[in-house]
Amino acid sequence: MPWVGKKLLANTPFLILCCLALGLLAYYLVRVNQADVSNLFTVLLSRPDTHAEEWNQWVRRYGGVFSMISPPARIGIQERGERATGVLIEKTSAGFHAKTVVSLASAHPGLVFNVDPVGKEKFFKGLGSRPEGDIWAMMKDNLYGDHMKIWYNPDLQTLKAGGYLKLMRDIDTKPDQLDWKGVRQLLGEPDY
Amino acid sequence: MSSQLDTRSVQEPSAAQRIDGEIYVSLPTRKLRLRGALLLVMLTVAGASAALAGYLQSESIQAGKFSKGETQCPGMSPAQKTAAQPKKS
Repeated sequence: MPWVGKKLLANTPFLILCCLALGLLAYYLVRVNQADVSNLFTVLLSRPDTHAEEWNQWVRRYGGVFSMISPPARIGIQERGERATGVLIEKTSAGFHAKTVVSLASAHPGLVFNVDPVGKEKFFKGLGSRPEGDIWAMMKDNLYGDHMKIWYNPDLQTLKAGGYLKLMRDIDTKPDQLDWKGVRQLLGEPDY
Repeated sequence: MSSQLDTRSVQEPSAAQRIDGEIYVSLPTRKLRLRGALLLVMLTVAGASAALAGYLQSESIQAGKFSKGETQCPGMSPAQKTAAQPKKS
């Protein structure tokens, strides 16, 4: 071991400071990505996926909101704090299935709903008792109240073909690169 | 007694050295190795955290693979605008 290295390692204050700095850095990076790291461990360690299970219950109750999306289709759900991971809802001919994934982007969902805690509470309030049709008002409440944001696949043809564009339009949301006239034209709707 | 001390000094050298004109007392080699191992572990942990954060950032929905939708309702008929208003409880 070179004598410079020995000198540094023998310097106890330096060693303590180094270890503290590295430890704090690691703690900060994990803390900032806490939600994603938690989901990562859920998937990697095959822990019970309670996160996806509650969204499974939600989509089975309010799946009608995705009726215009033709299977096979994928919708992503992220709660605030999640950036890369999230719950992927798959619509197949057999029905809906939700699961937590490590990389939502790699799963290529057509839309991703990013919901804050208030928005999530609104979605789940009275889950078993509210009429199914209330989901439309809940969606718009969350969007207008800025409790939910929608991220979409920028490929407009995929958006249109999969039925995602119509869903966006039905909840008063549009792609950033189109105006409302462009959305109606793409959907083949009459102009007002 | 003195022979035991001599044995210990041979196994764990801790002689003073003069480096750059300063007296420097080195730690026993075993202690230095432990410290080196500790520093290496901390570097590995910090490096792994940084790599994980980098991966999560690159896979982020907001990183550019998806675009953010705009919520507004211009161009709707008055009836549709009324129907689109959030219900007041």
